[in-house]
Amino acid sequence: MARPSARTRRRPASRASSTARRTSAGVTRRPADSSGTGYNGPVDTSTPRPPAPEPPPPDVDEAGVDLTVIRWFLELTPEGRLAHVEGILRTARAIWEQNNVRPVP
Amino acid sequence: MSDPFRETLDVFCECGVEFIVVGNVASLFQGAPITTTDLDLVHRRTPGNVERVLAALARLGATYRNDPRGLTPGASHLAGPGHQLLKTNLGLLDVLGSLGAGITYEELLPDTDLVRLGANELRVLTLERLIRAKEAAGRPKDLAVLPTLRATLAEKRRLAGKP
Repeated sequence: MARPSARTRRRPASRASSTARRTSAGVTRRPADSSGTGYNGPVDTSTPRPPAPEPPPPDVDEAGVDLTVIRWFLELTPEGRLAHVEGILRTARAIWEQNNVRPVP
Repeated sequence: MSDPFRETLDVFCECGVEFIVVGNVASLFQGAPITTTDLDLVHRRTPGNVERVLAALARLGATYRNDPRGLTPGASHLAGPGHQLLKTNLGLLDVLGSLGAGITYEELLPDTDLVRLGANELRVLTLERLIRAKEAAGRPKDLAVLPTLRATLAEKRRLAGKP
C-alpha cells in the first residue's frame, strides 16, 4: 500500500501544532479550527495571493478641495486647460456686458 | 476677442520674447482648476529681450492700467525689477522684471517646464515653485489658492506614483 503524500496526508487533530507549518510541497497546515470553519485540512499557499486592492482615493481632501475636479482638469492638456478657462471668461464677459457691469478690458 | 491669454502669449512668442509664465495662468497650465483675469509674465531683462518685449507690447496696444494718460512702458522700466501693470487690447497683463523678493528670470529658469501651446513652447513655472512663491507672498489672495495648488500637486504625484 502506497504511503499518503504530503498533500493528502491528514494529521490527527490532537497532534496539530499551535502554529501554522509550511511543508516542502507548499502546503500549510493550520492549527485545529484556526479558520473558524472547522476545516483543518491542507491549504495551498504555493501561489502568492494578489495584494489587497488599495482603497480608492478620497473625493475631497482635508482642506475641502474637490479632488474630482482636479482629476478631471489633469486629464486635459495644458492647452485644453487654458481653452476651458478662456471659455469661462468669455461667458463671464458676456454676462457682465448684458448686465451693464464694467467688464475686464 | 476670443482667447485673450492665448493670443497674448502667441504675440510674445512671435516677437521672440524670452519669458516665463507665472501666477494663476501658470497654475492652470500645471493642472490647478482655477480662474484668473490677468496674465503674469517674468521676462529676461537683457537689452535685446527688453526690445522684443517692447515690440510685443506695441502690437498689443499696452498701456499702464492705473494711469488715465495712456502711458506706455519704456525700455528703462522693463530693464528694472519692477512690475508693469498693463492693460492691452486683449486684457490685463502684468510684465514682471522679477518675482517676489527680486527673483530674476535666470533664477526661475531651472524651476520651469516647457508647455506646448499650438506651434509655440512656453516656459511655465513649476507647481512646486508656484506654491513656494504664494507661500512667500502670504497675501490673502495668495493664501486663498494654496489649498487648490497643494491638492493639485499631491494628485499629480499620486498619479505619477511618487510619494
